[in-house]
Amino acid sequence: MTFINPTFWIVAVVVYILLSIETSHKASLRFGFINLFALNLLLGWQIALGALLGVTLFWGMVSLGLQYGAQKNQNKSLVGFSILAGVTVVFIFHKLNLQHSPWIETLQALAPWMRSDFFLTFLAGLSFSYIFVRCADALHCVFWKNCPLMGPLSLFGYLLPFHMLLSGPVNAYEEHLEMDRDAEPESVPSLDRVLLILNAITTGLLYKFVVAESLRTYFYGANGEMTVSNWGDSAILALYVFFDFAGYSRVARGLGLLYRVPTPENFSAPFLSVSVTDFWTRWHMSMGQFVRRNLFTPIQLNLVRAVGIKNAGWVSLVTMVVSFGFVGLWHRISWTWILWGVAMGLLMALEKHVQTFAMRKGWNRSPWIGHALPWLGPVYTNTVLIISVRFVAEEIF
Amino acid sequence: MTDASLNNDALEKLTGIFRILFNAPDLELNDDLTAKDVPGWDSFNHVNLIINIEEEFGVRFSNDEVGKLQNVGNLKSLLAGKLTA
Repeated sequence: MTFINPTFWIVAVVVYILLSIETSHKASLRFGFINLFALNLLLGWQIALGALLGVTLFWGMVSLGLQYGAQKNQNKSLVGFSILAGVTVVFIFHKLNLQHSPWIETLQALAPWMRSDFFLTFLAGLSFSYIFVRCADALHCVFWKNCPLMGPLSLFGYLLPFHMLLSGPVNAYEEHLEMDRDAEPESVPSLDRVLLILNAITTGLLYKFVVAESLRTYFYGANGEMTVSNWGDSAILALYVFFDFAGYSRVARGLGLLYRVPTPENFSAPFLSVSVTDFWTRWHMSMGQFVRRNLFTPIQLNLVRAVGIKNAGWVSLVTMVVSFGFVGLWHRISWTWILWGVAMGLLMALEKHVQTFAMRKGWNRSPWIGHALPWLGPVYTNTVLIISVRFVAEEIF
Repeated sequence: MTDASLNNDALEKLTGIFRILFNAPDLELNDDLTAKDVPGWDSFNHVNLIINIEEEFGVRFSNDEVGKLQNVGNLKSLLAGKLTA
């Protein structure tokens, strides 16, 4: 399912037409139902039905867990963590990429009933990594923030939105709930809205199919593989990944605006970042927001409360390493990505210490630093980016 | 959120916390002020800000409340609600 496939665009238009039909049903339910229809056309009825069964199973567990948690309130968190643990096991199973390793035969011999070959291909076909973070966001919201649980079909639309299935962005459960609270949509979109939608979709297609593909073809040939053997290759790969990923994200954003389905922005001029910390608020922003919402803020807040604000700087070292260790593992379960995540976390904790020191000295009010930072900051950040891309290059695709 | 508002004393204390934390002696707290407007107001210092406020005013914010704060106006009305509760 790629944006170059004409079927995708036919389905995208049909979805818009179907969503435009006025009914008395909630917006999230309508999108969930039409999304099921879209996935059926794009991925086949077996995968669409399998995904619906999986979501219904997840919904059933959450629903039962909420009932049990309501009876014994002290166990609510435990139930939430247990369901999250179950989803995490499936995620790890998916991330180990066993279908491409000799382990698959061993696994099939050990548990022939599991049909691992089918199950792993099924998860890979659905880009389960994104579904996993959406499941985690939904569980956090429902079990710890008392958000209402959507019905199974609405939840299906949240967890597997066809326009965000391939490469995100990571939409927030709470924002998806807001769909049902919005005022009646205008029957004809305003000119501003149409321009925003067209801008997002056309720039997305330009990024992906013109800029990213031109970069790849120019440097590596029409059928050439992107290999990294020097620092220049690393810089080209960073640019390619940006235009490819940001392209997909822009198209998804445009379709989200068209359907009025919350679809967050994912990139904001990341190469102009003045620090690595700044970079991660501009690159794959929706994932950064997910990590802040579900990992960084709760962990940092509770740890600082426990050890006192004087130790906040040291606590941030732990929180940053845990948060970015997760981001590394989310990309791939390998030592390379774990080390990448830990290094990113440590670097950002170090930046925080430098920033705190500079603020204490009053350097943040120095006009010289104010002028130099927008120029020197991106040089430093992009150098770190190129080094980090070279480090993980073998495991990016 | 609540419609309660902070009295002058509490507002002065809150402004003091912001000025010390962000080392900005001239900072004025208007309701529309957001993290983007204050250098150094990132997710790390957001947590520090909350802990400072909790310690100064003897209140407690939930994770959900901390995550939902959009601007100083939200923070002021949330704090005012906790102080009058």
